[in-house]
Amino acid sequence: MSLSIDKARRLIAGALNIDSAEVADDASMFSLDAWDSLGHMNVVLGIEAELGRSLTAEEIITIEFVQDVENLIADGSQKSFDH
Amino acid sequence: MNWTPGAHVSLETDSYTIRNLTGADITPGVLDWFKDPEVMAHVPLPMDLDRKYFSRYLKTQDNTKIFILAIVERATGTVVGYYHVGYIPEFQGARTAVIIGERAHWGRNIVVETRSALIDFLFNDVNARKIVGAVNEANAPAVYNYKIQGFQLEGIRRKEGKMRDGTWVDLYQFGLFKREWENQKAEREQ
Repeated sequence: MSLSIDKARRLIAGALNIDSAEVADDASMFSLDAWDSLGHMNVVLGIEAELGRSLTAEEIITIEFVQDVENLIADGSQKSFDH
Repeated sequence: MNWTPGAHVSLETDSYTIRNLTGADITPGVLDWFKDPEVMAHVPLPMDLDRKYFSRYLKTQDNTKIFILAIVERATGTVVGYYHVGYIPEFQGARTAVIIGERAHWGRNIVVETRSALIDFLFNDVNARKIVGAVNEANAPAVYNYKIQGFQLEGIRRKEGKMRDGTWVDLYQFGLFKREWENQKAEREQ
């Protein structure tokens, strides 16, 4: 299990106030009952806190799966090394 | 449901009734929604709407091309929000918008629950073939609600929305065809 996907799972679990064991690697807004509209907002806020910046609208619209959160976190971390 | 154009609308879900909004529903509590910056953050209406506005607005409702439907909590009879639906019979196209003014009902899947009933009504009784809606790019919960109900992102209306601080923002256009809704329901029932 990669560190970044584990981080994404924990971020989502925290945003939805559930145990990270309930968030599978392939979980999504379509599979997790706890992922509702307010939960979605909290996932967005969680990613923004992790990255230290606001997400763009183009980034927000992509968030559906754990993989999408992982990609945003990984890309954001990578960008911090690209200075 | 045995409904004909022009007739009163009343739909039931587990927790809510969706029925025509009336003047009697426009209580001081409802008017307070339009003073609340958080409720109004993504609502393209002036703040501080009054009873005169609603008196004029409700007269546009004909239950054929314009539906203004209260969302009523069944347990208490409280109006917690409402839908505006515009329908164009020539194109069998419906456009929906919703405001949930009672914050206590945020985070309870109210839009998913009530709009599902509304979608069924529009496709099965009004005979719509497609339903569309637009959402402000910054409105993550509304984007979620469209996606979870199978609406497809069809386009971006560039800088067509406006935030309260005057910032122009993109509007995301979502659409749902009847066959997509029916397929989705069939998959859920499997």
